Amino acid sequence: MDEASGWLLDVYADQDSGNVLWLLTDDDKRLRLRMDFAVTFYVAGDFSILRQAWIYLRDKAVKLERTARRDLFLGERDVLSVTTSSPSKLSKIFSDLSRQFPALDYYDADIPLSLRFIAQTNTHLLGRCRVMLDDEWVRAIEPLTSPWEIDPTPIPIRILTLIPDGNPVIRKPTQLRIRYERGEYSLPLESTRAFMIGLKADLKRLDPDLILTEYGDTWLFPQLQGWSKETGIDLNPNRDQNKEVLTRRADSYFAYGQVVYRGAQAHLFGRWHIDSHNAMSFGEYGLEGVMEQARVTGLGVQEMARKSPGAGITAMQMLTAIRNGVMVPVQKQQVEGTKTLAELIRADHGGLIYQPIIGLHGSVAQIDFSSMYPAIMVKHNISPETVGKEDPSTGSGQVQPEGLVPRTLRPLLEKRLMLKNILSDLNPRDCRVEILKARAAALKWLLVVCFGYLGYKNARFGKIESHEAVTAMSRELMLQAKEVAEDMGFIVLHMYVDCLFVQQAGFNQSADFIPLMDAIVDKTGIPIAMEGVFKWVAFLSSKRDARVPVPNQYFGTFMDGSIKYRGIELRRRDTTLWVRKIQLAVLEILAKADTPQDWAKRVPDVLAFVEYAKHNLKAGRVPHEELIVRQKLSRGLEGYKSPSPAARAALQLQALGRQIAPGQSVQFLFTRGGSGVQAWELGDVLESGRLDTKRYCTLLDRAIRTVLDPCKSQFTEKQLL
Amino acid sequence: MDIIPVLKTGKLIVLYTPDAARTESMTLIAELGLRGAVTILDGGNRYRPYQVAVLLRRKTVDISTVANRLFSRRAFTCYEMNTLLGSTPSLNQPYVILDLLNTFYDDHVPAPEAVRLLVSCLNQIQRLLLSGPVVVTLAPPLVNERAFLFEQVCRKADEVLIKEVPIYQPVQPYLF
Amino acid sequence: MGRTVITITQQLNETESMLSPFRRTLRRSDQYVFDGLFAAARRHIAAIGQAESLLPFESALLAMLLEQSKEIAVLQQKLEELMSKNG
Repeated sequence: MDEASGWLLDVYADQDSGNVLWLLTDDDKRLRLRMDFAVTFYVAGDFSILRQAWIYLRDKAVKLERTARRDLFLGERDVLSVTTSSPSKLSKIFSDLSRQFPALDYYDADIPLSLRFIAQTNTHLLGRCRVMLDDEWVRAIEPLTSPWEIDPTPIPIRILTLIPDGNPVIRKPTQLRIRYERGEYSLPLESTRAFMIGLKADLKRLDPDLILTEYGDTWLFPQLQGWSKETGIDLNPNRDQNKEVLTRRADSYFAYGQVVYRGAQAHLFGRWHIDSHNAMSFGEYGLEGVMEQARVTGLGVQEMARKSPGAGITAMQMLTAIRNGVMVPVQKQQVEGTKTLAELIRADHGGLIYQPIIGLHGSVAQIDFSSMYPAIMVKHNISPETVGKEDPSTGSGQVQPEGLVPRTLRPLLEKRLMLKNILSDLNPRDCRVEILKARAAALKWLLVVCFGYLGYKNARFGKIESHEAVTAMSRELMLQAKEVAEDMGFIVLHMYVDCLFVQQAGFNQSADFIPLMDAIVDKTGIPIAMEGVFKWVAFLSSKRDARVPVPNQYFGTFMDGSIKYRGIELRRRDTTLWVRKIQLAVLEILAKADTPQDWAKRVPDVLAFVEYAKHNLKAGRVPHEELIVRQKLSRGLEGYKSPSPAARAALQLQALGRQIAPGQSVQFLFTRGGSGVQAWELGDVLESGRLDTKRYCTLLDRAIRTVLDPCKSQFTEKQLL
Repeated sequence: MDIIPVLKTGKLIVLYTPDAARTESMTLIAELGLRGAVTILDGGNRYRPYQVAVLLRRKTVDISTVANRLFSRRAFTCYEMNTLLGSTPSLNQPYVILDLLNTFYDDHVPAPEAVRLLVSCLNQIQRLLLSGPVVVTLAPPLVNERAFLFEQVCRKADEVLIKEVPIYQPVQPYLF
Repeated sequence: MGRTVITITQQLNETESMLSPFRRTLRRSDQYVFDGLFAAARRHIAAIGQAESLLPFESALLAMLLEQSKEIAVLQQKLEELMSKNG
């Protein structure tokens, strides 16, 4: 028998039997391997119906057995186990069976194959392993690394980048730019035949592990299929030539009470395809972050790039369940327990929101609990199956074995904390910083969404009571932190779910606040970190009544000169780039102030700057790209009685045959006269003078009023704007 | 819309308004609560606890006693709605099911499944009717292709009370 | 995944809306003071929430009283300072 070791790139079902694995070996080869792999799902329920299901399955090439397995809430349950050695056939067997017998309970029937593989072999995606081979058949596989290692050996993946010379939605591309390592060249698209021959040859020669594209999901791969037919040149971008590209259609669907849009997707086998325009996470933390998520969640790189972190955390929970012999129900079975009116009012709250003291404050420290909700779940063993079962003598669930959710989150929390600690010690110019930051961010996102995804509704094991227990504990801990701070002489200016803003005369340096932080950790048991000490911070009031404070809406400058802001126009995606740029520039002017008293002195500079910006706009000196407004279409165009600006823009595009689906954003400019808007994708250049400068100035005024809010009492309205 | 006079064990009443009888159902729950225990199943996040408390306060000082006999559970998917109904005991008290169909329009649930679950729900409602009156509130269908579910529920009702809201909707002013 | 119990902020808004006929009939200058009462309550949303009362407006009234007492205390202090300055 031969032996090989390397990184596990991909796992998927073979169409006949078992699995296909791709290994990137230590001697830089890419091996396509096969492995026997049987998969099982379970069925439970009314005995007479189960018996009929047994009879139905008897001739379906599966192995049937009566056994008992653990349901997380119901304990041991009598089940019918259905096993097939062809994982690719599982989903059809399951869907046929569940259509025949919809009233039965199904478990483990829709677990992604990569998770099953990982649970069984204890390896992990992008991890190193050693295999014993019999030709292409894996007879034994052994993990060499753990997904929780801080600094795994980098995988030498080959990346090929394909970018069209323009947005295919607006204009037909004329060439495809190809980038590989340090080389870059273009393939013209006019002659489809020549292009196909060229691309095919390049793919064969370069043999990339990752194809990174722009518009690959929505344009390139669908086009390749068409061009293949047209020219008769067979181009299969998969490394596994036995497989077709897996495509998923674009779709608008109604879920969670609103319309959600999902773009088309193209997945490859044996190599990865990521479309940077269609990968929500990719924009956040790049390839390194996506790989980290694949590493810890067990979902493939292509999946994690496109899916939200919620899918990742759900996968992790499934993995924990499988590893602990708990069946994963296809349909969640737990429902809320009965509550009286009073109990409902007590339970149904979110995090603690402590209204800020309006105005400008100097020397304010912001301290944040680190990953508060997950930390609470782990420390207090809050899990759907443990909640409501507290030991009355200790008042906590500690006597119980660790629940599924804390067990899933614990290693995630620990790794993130370790990464953060390492990063805080590293020199910012250390070359490892970028990679570690991306990984930490990727893990942070998994933790951020875990509360929502592990709570209830679509979570397989979710129970709303565990959600409520976590928020109740978080409110209690915040109040404890406030008490500790006040006992130590601090004023608590604002609190928002998991962060506090505190102040004490004479306390200006980070080090001054360490005793406070230690005391809070001591009391609450949850780690806390210093976000920074503000030279000054402004808590804003409501636009409707200046006496009413608004939570989580502020801006300020830290001691090191950096600016932080929340809830203002700068943070909102629907604000134009121009307004955001000016608001940021204004903040930078104000950031030069060292104290609140200094601040007011900068305001005349701000006003002058804003006047200058408006002058530039009216003189036509602002590029139109910066004035694009982005709004989502909330429904189909027919659904509008009086069309919103976004709908009017969408109508213009519709006239040219371009359809905008509900849930998608439309980009447009505000214009004088006519319909008041011009859709950006029309590609038409707007003549000067047609821009609705008045409207843009109004938008800017609003944003500047926000920033000057703390000092409005000192200036009259006329002076301000 | 005076519903209490028409309530009777064995009778299924459907209330249909553009907002699933939001105010009417809270008034009903408060009135029923003053008379005895009530079970509320909320299928569309329509329950308004504070509103009920305020309504109770207008009739009695001792709102806690009444509040403690208003029992509610919420369903966030149609599967949960079915499980809720299946696990609700038959008690000699009224049942109010708010916005029964809200979760049945989710595209993630195939139409045949939605139908199967609704049939099961309606069977459970028949069981509950044997011990108490049942009031179901409905809003206009969220998805046209599934409007037939709405008709299915109405067909099972002994009485369907419809209230049209005037075209002019007063806008709730907010300070934020 | 909506919450069922509306936030204190929303509850206060609803109460305020219900009182709009009352407010409307007040003189403009009195309306400003009236709004100030609700603004005072809004500075203590967290406390009103934590009170977990079936009728949050009762706690809101307490918050309004609290703010008023603070204002009086500040005025008292200013008065004392003025009086001691003037002998």
